[in-house]
Amino acid sequence: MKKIIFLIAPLIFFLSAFSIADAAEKKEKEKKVIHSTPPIDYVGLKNPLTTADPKTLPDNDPNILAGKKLYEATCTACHGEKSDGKGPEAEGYVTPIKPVDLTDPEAIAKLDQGYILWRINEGGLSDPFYSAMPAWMDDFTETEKWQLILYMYKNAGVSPKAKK
Amino acid sequence: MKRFFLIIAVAGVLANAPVAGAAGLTVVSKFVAGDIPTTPIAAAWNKTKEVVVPMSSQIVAKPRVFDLPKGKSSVRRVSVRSVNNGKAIAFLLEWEDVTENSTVDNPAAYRDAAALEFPLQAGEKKKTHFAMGHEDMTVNMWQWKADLEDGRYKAVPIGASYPGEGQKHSIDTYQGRLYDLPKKQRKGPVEDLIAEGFNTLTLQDSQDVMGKGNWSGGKWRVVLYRSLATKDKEDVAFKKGGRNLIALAIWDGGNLEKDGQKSVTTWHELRVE
Repeated sequence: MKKIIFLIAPLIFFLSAFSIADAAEKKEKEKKVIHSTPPIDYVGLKNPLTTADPKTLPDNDPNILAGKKLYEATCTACHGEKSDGKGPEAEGYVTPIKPVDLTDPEAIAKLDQGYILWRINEGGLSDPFYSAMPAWMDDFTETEKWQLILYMYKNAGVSPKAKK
Repeated sequence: MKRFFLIIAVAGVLANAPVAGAAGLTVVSKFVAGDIPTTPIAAAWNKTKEVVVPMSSQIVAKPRVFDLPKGKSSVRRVSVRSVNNGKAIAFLLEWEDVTENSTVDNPAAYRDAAALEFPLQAGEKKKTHFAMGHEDMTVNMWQWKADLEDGRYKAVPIGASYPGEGQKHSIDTYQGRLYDLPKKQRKGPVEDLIAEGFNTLTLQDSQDVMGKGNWSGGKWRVVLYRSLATKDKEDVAFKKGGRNLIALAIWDGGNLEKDGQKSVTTWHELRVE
């Protein structure tokens, strides 16, 4: 019996190692974030509430506080308290695009605030996304959406894409 | 030493447990000779491998789960098994639910229910939204409802969601067609439906799906089955060796879930042996 365990256990271990390597490779592929071209109306839009880098705004900034409230009510479920894409509702929403890890340097850090406004308004209902991201167009005022965007960047600890 | 290897072996097995990634999970419909099981307690299911699919609260469309008292849906996992015999296909869904809600006349709860969803255009994974499809991307839904069990499907009016609500507002508008609801007939506790977006869910003229649910020990076990292929163009077609997409939804009536307030999955793969 001992011999059997001695022979089988390492085999299972090595097979698992391949499985883990495969999973890591899959994870790396999944990491690639689709950044589509937003409609012209959103290109170059500036946040009307402030020109400051959201990451540098203080915790008690009124816009940050307002954005935090909205984020916790609507975004945390999927994107998570830490903006890492691991909210309590994220697990079932795996295909074709899982909830974005907002802290990922390849995600919102590569985008300007106008792009984020577009995604908040339209959600993932259309091509090429078809994700679980709701369309919040009619749920928030314009001011609320910009406050939410400020908080998203601050909470994720990243800055919007720098202007060229 | 023995314990050490045992730990390694267990760790290895756990590492190989299926995890849902961007490609989704794969439900294999196992080929069996002879009859397919048509009840949830059939012994044949024990020989079929289950796939446990993670579920999330439906948040894409209104009404979202944020409006529920708990702010979320109840069911987090659903076990799926499938078999086929080359002529018919059956699915067994199992999920935990502490209360059986099999009527719609309880003011403190709604009915329990479950649904399978398949795009009519098989393989269009990236082009069909998992939430009810969308224009020109029709989905076929098989919805089992606990309140239609034990012959009650004959008594519940077609199109009526709950007493006092009348007909579902959208049920007669699919593709501009007016459906003569009173002429439609269910054949059991499962409704065969089509949709191409939110608020387009429509009972098909031809009801081709059968099923049976059983609640016991805090768990629902529900079987849904149909011919692999039908003559109805509004039905998803399965074929031997083929691949389809599959998504699931579950309503916990005890958590006041109905209509869009439910637990859902996104697309996963179904492979027919």
